[in-house]
Amino acid sequence: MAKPIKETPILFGKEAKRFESEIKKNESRKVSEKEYKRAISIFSKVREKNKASF
Amino acid sequence: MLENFFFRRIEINAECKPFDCGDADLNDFFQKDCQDYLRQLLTVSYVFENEEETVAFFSVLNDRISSIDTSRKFFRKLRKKIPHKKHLKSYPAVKVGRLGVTQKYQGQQIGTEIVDFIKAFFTERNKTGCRFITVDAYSTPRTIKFYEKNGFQFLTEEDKKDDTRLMYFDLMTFVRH
Repeated sequence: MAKPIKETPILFGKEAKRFESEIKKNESRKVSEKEYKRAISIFSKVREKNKASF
Repeated sequence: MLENFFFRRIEINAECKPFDCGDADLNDFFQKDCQDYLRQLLTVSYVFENEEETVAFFSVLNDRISSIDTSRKFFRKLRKKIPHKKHLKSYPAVKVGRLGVTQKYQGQQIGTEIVDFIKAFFTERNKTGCRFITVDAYSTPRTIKFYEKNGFQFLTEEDKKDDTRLMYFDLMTFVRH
């Protein structure tokens, strides 16, 4: 049997504060337009070719 | 490149084409465990394949990231006194339990394309709320570098010495609204 998939732990104390601060900043951070378009394009092409799987 | 392959969800007892990513543990997961996980409703796995082989696969499951702004010790005391977890913040997520690309196709950006695909898969007309992609990444420099390059951050420092490390990507940085 392969390694089990690890559970996501609850974050406490300093780690929780660091995480909350990071995701607060993320509200105004965006991946580049190029990166976004690349992802949407790949997704759309795969969906178009494999309609039955969506 | 992904669009050159067929994409499908692995169903129970469905046959899969040969796959070898060069990592025994990941091969083992794909060949044996992903069917058991599917039967137990723990993960759903998807493959990209051609006529001859499985080019890549990924397995996903529901997840959440929870944070509590007190120490673990204090939280244990607090929990006994306060029935509702007042200080707990919890966010829905999808976890990429495993992701692998067969050896022949490694080094051709397929892994990055799959991560891109997953970002769109869980934001485009998603059926449920999903703020984060989490990943249980193998602790090899190559794998960690791959996820960092794709915008993932470490969730905790506590798993630094483990075989795998938890990382996350905030889908708020991806969506356009």
